Amino acid sequence: MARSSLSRRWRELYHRSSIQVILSLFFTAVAVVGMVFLGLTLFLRFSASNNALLAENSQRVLSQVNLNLDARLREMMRVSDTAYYQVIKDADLAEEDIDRDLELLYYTSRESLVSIAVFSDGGGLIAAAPLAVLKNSVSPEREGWFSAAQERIENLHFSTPHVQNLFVDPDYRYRWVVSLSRHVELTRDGAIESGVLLVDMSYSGIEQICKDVDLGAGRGGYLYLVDGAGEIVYHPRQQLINAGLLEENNAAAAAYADGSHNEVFQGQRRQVTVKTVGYTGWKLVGVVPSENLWDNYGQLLLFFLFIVIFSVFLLVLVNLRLSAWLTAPLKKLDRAVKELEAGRETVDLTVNGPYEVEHLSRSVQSMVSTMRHLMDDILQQEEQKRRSELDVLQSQINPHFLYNTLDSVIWMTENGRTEEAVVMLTALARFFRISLSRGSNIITVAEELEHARHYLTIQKMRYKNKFSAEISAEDGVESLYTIKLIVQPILENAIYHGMDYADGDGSICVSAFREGEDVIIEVADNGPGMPEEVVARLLDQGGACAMAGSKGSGIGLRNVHRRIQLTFGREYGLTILSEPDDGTVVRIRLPALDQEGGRRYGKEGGQ
Amino acid sequence: MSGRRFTRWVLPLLMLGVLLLLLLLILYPARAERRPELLEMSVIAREADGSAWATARRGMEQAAADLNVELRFLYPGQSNSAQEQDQLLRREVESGASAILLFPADREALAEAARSASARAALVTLETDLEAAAGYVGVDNAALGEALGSAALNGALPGETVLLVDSAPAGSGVGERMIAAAVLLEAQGRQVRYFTGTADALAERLAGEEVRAVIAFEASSLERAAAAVSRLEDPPLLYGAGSTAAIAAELEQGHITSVLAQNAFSAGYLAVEAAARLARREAAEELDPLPFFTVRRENMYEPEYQKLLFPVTW
Repeated sequence: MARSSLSRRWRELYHRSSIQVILSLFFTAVAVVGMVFLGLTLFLRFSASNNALLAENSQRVLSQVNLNLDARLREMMRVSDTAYYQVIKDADLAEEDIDRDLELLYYTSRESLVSIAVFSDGGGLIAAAPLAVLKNSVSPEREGWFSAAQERIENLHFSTPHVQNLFVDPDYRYRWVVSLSRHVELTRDGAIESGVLLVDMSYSGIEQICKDVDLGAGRGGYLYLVDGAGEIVYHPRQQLINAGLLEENNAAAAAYADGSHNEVFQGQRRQVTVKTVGYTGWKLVGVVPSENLWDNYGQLLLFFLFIVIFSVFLLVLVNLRLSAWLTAPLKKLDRAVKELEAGRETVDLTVNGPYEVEHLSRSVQSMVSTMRHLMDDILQQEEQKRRSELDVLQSQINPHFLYNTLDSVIWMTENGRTEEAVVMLTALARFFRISLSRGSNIITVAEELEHARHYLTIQKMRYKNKFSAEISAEDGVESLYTIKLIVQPILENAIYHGMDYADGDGSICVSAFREGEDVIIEVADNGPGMPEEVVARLLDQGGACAMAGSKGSGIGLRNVHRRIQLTFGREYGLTILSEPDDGTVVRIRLPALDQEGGRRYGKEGGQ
Repeated sequence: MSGRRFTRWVLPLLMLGVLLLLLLLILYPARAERRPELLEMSVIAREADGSAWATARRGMEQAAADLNVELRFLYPGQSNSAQEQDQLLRREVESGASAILLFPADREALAEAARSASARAALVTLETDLEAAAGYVGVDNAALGEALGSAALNGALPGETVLLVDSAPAGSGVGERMIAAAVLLEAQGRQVRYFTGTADALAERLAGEEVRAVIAFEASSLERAAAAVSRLEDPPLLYGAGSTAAIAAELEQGHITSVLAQNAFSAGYLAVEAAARLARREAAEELDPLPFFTVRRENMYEPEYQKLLFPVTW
């Protein structure tokens, strides 16, 4: 339901919108969809690449640190090996003092060493450098590094950082060290006994390797070092961790395999990269906070959004202009067609534009031209048809009247009434002369009234003066123009229907006068008159059939009425006022045409 | 200019300009990426020699590096001189210091200067709390004094004498510790005596007087007391507060019976952080008194105490 409503709305919008708007919208929509798709693809690709790059960078940095750390540990191991194989192993402790050799060895690596010491199996100090006095309070055999060396005699053992507290230091220096211990075989009086060799590496050596490592390209990344149990060996903020002001996820990191991992620690997402250090089981842990990455991604996303908005705005602007330019010829053509529809005669349909539009313009031009020709033809045909109709209507009068008149003349001649016959014939001749009017359809009112007078002369003679007739005209009316033969059919009607039963008291009065801009020719008789419904049907074109059977169908009146309206318009024509037993008045309303007007209508009449 | 031309060209170009401006604003580094402005912070010590709080200083320096703070350490010419501290405090305020850390020598003597300083700068105290200061970072001095007194109860039987080393005015945090210890000891039937002076004078007094236990209430006096005790053949038990390398050595050698130590690094860090937050008008959490721990010879190398007594140094 909702879908069909949406579809309907869409169709309505489509039909209401201009081609320019539709083009702009579609161009913009397609471009935006393309941009968003491309942008998102690039963004996701960039994010993935950036993550991979960061992980790769962390691994590379950790590998480098691992190399350095490995070198430092190897150096310690080398010192330990040298101390064991070149100083301790071949020396008989009963005969030789190895303190000096150890001291020499210490001084060769003093920058990274804190002390070298050899202990007997029971923890007694045999030799040490540079400090050689053991504190009373300490028991080396209880230390972790000592027991580790004794438990796994084949290995070298690295301790976690601790404070070296074995030797008496007059300067009260307590130094943090990482101890490397191993089981050694000591020779005393030729007998082999066990012992432990301790090499204390300065903790600052590890710090120098691990500090200032740039992880995550300045995004707050750092590196720390844990032993196999997760105890922190080095951390750039170790003191804060020791003070309890900071926590680290070192226990979890110790369980991670080498490689990059994502973790959430204290609500913070982080990318953690782990690399195991050889010999020691320690792990280098690189941390890059993901929030920082996402901060940047957020910035990037915002930037991308603004680029999209900016581009959309620019696209809308450009597309509006482009579509306006593309659709301008079509719009011009549309305007021209609208002007044509409004009825304007001269419209410029010439449109310059793309081939299709120009072709369309030419086609419309051709179509309009053809249409105009066709319309002219139709008008001409209509005019010809009208004229033919007028001619037909006009010609309906004559044969009927001519026959009756000539019949009367014959009758008069046969009865010796020659003079009357002459009068009638003369009137008939003049009647026809005016009827013909040298072919002109427009004659003066005077001629029309003259025509009526001759007709009445003839009819009065035929009807043996059963009625009297009077014709009058207001001054100036006679010089005006009218279409011809409009009074005679009314007189004919008045005589046939009004005077037929008169007995000398019939009366017909024809008067012409001005009424404003119109001319009224009124034909009044004192005949029997007509009921209202007959009057109503008399001028009705459909009434012709209804009255066809009665005496006189009123066709003459309708012909006159139609001729006047065809010539002058529908506001002109006949008006019939009649009451039974009270006579009939037929009023002819015509425009008051002067000579110029008469000439114009004469031309339009096809002269 | 016609309205049509404005709508067609000028308005879209104006909007394009606005969008470009917004774009530039977006490209401007985010707030998170910018370091806060450098803050100048003065640290006014109580003692002429700062070695006793070297660890706290390292904590301060770490915080300064983290929070973009420039520290200026000021020492009075004479230890525990409230008058000099008053002058230093006023001078730093006048010179426009935004934040001040103060180890007050005397509450009453510094009350007025602290009030006026607080009105113009973020004032945070260490070791001694001040009513006028905006914050205090340190232990509960009365509790620390009572803890030291309790420790001495084990060494001195009722009726025996406990000597309290009076090294700071009564109106200071150190003085407060001493008063709390004295009240406890006297309540438990111990004879309480007081001493003020050098290590030699203390050694001389201890040699001539039957003293069962000695209590020093801060690092400097504890170092001096340890030095005095170490010279005696039959030394009294020595208890004290503070953690320095010398104290650790004396503890290891048995000259000090037990030490109540706080994490000085943590105190220094938190003090700078609190003052910086106050100066920058940032939300700061209320600080609780810092914890302290009892360290003896037997446990001093246990990992947690090892880290407490011997801060990691490179």
